[in-house]
Amino acid sequence: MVTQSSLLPLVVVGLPLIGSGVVAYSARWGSRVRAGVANLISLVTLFLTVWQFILVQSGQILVYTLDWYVGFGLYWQVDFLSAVFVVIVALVWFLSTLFAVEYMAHEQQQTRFFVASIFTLGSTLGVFLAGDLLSFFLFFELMTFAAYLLVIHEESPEALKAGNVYLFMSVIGGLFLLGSMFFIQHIVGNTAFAPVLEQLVAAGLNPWWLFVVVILGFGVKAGMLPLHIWLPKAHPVAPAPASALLSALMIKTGAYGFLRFFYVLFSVAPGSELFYLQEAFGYMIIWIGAITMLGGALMALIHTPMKRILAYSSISQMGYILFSMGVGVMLGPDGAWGFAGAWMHMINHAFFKSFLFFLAGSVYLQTGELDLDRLGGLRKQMPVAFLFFLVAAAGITGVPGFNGYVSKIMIHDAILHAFELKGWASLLWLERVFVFTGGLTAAYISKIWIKTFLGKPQQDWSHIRDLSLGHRVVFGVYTLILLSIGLGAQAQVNQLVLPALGITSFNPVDVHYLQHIPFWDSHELQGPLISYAIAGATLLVQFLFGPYLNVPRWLSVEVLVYRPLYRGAKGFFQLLDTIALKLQRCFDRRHNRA
Amino acid sequence: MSILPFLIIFIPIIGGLLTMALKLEDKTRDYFVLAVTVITEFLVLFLYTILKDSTVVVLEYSRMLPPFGISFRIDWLSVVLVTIASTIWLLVTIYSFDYIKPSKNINRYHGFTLITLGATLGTLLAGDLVSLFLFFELMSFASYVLVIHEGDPQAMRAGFLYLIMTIGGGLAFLFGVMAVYQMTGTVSFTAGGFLASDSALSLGAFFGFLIGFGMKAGMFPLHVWLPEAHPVAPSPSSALLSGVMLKIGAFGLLRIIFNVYQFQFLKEVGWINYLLIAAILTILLGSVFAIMQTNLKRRLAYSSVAQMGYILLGMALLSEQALVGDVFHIFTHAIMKSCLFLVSGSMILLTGKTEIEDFKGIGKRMPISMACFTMASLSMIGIPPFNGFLSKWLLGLGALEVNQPLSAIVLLVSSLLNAVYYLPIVINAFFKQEEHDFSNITDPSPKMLIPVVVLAIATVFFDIIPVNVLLNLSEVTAATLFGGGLGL
Repeated sequence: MVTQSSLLPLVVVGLPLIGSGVVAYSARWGSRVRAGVANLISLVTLFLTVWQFILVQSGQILVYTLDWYVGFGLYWQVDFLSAVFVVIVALVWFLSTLFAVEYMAHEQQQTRFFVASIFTLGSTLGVFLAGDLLSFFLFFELMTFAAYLLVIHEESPEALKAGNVYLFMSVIGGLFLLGSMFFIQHIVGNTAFAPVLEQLVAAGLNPWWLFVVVILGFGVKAGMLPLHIWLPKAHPVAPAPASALLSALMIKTGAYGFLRFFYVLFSVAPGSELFYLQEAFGYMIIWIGAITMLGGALMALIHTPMKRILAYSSISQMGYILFSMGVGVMLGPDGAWGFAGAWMHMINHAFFKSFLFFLAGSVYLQTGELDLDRLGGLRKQMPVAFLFFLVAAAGITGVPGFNGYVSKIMIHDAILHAFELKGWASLLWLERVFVFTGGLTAAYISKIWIKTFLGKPQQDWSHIRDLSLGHRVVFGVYTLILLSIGLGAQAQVNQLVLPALGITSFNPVDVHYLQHIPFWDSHELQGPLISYAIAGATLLVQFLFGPYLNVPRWLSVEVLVYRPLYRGAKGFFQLLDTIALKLQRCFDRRHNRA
Repeated sequence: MSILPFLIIFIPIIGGLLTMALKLEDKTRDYFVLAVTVITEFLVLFLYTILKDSTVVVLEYSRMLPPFGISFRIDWLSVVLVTIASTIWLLVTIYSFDYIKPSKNINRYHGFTLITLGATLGTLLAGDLVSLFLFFELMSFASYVLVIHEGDPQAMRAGFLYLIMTIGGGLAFLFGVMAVYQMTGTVSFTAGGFLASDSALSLGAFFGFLIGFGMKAGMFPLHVWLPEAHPVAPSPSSALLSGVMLKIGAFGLLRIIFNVYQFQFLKEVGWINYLLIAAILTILLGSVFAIMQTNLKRRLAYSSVAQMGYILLGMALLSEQALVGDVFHIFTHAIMKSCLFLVSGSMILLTGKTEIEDFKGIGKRMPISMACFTMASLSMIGIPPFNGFLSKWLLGLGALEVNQPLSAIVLLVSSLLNAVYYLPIVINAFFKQEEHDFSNITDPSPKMLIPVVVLAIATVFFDIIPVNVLLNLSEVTAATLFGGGLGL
């Protein structure tokens, strides 16, 4: 690896940030020019990121420093991890902008949407290219605030409410992150991505506090249970192109933060006394991931608005990523499989989730309807959308030959590998949770598919047309991506995952295994069958007993935890305010007498 | 050269008296006021030539006002603050011409604004406690006229509260001055301080200063006049009261901590902890009360209380890094808060409404003004890349440096509270449906818009420019107060 100073990452981040201003200015020449400029900027950004990827693939690490920024410096550092994900961000963003041209044509405030979208692109790229925590934090916050404009785009009371929850939870998450940065900067003297845990513990900090602070800092953005409550509110109310970006890419900044923290900042050399900490952190993360994926999937199953199901699905899929990441952290140098699974799933989820949100958007564009109970029978009117939905569903549920299969196999192998090494029975149970969640995933995706495209039409769909040519092209690109990862599984793993293992040092035996994953082994191929069997059983149960399985409204963290907290704080503030008012009245009486 | 401080102080004061005495025509008067303010600003910039190659210049005029005489102390702290004060004053004056037009007593308003400017600059340049006291009182009484400008019962009531608290604070300050003179026989500021006596009188003097300046700085529990007086004043005056004059209290305490007492001594005997506790309470309670306010300017005023808490905290920590953040936050808060008050002034003037709820949808009618408001708000919360982040970052690191993690946590909590009371204003203005008819409302005239835009750009400019003048000045100031060398 050669460290090479390069302006490229600065340009990659700066182009969309400044370009958003150009988009705003171009609006005066009409909507076509504006859309053209937005597309051009995201396309050029895509080319630049690909160029950057090629440079990094040839063994360079690109760095750039603006050392005057706030007296502490702004750092860009592009290693393989950053370079890969940045290409994915730029690619999905470009497809989203392309998709948005038609989708947004009838919406209000289109200029604001495109400007905010392109600005958010720049800040999201900045998050992945940041070379230290301070720079990371800068772009993280910029992204939070810029994406707020996407969330509340409709300006309906519902959207504003969702936007508030999103904004305040994000701000709280950001402050936890800032808190951890205070301590790291103070004790270490910089916030670079380098192992710091030993220094922090030596300085007298309680490592478990640090763990909690970091988990809370990134957990909000990553949609981790029980910090997820903003996500199923905020993602569905945004326009579909933005929902796709929020769900597919922006929540990944949380996962990426976890990757950097737990594989780099909090990693400990295996011989060290503190290795038990890394192991414990990893084990906790596996559990958090398991709870998140199961909880998200269950909630996805009981809802009927399509985009809300997809949002809960994102929570569940983030659970997969955390789960696998936890395995890798727990095993330390033997954790290559877990890391590889998490990384591959981050990439795959970015594609199939944005694909699904775009499809939901297409259905909405034609029917004006997103609730599954009021859709149905669209197969005849939208045959092409029907087929594309099958492709996306195959991707997320892990049908062999599509991309989800690849990462699910890797995660499954990782947890079994952990069980082999550790022999803890709990790990075997966690494996079962994983398999069961896979089944639930297939169930809720099938539910969307069945209730939207099959069955009897609930309304008169005769005026409905199928996908436009532009959208067919976008979805065609997605199909190609899903299939190329799914069919060329080993080649993609070799190309996208193995170089990323350089983030920390892994055992070569495991790396060797990753070069020869038995994707087409009959044992592995059983996985999807089990998933679909569980899905079938689940749907049957829901169909037969659904009306009796009402989940009470109070059974949610929002009602049980967040609202009492909010009311408590409000009550306390009101009490203080009343006391102050009473004192003021005393003064007034005196003044009137005087 | 030695006449420069006199010119800086007395040109605006005489200008103010002339404004009232001459009763010029409206337009001529406006040009006259502007000319006086601009000249003062230029003279202030000349101070840098005096200070070019020394850390401090002391000018004494013992013939005047015997037995103490008047003296001026030109060091980095005073020069830096004089610059920010006169610059904000200039921008606010430009804004105020159109704002004050519909009001009555315009001559009085401009006259007393100029007198207050002179007195403020005098306070900042004062070289000993007695001169400081003199200008401090002049400033307090001159600004009373600004507070009660509207003349309605609410303003008079607030003005009364302001007046009695100012007098009380002034007496406490005077007691401190007398006690210091009794103990040491001198009242002149000295680098590194001259008082390190652990006696009851010394403690009493310290409390006298704490009350006198803490009252001016809006320190809890002496802040009660502030949320009454700032909102009733005309908005440009609110901007000056909150943006500049509150800082005088902070400046006074800096002088007391570093140039009267020896700060090492204050740390050893633990007296500084009284300030620390008051600062933490000021931050938290100021924010809590700000959340409960429904009136726009009252919310901004309580926010000033909380932000002054940051500044008091920064000096109470007695760490050099925190002090850099502290001085930087004095700049930052002056910029942000005057921007916020000026924008709310435009909103109130154009719509006639004062409640936050009434401003739904105004952002679409006044996009530039509200965009500026948004930038200043984000800076208040401390979001990068705005100035507020830099001061919060430096203050937090400074708190850890002296092993006060609790203070760093208070900073984080208060950032959240800031978000809770600033973001709804912005969200209301931009994204909620209009309830009142704002169809004939647009951004105000250039005279009222340009100062706001300049201030808003400054909230982000001083975080991202390559050569951060303000940060460098803050570093130099902190270094000289801690007795270090000149490192510009």
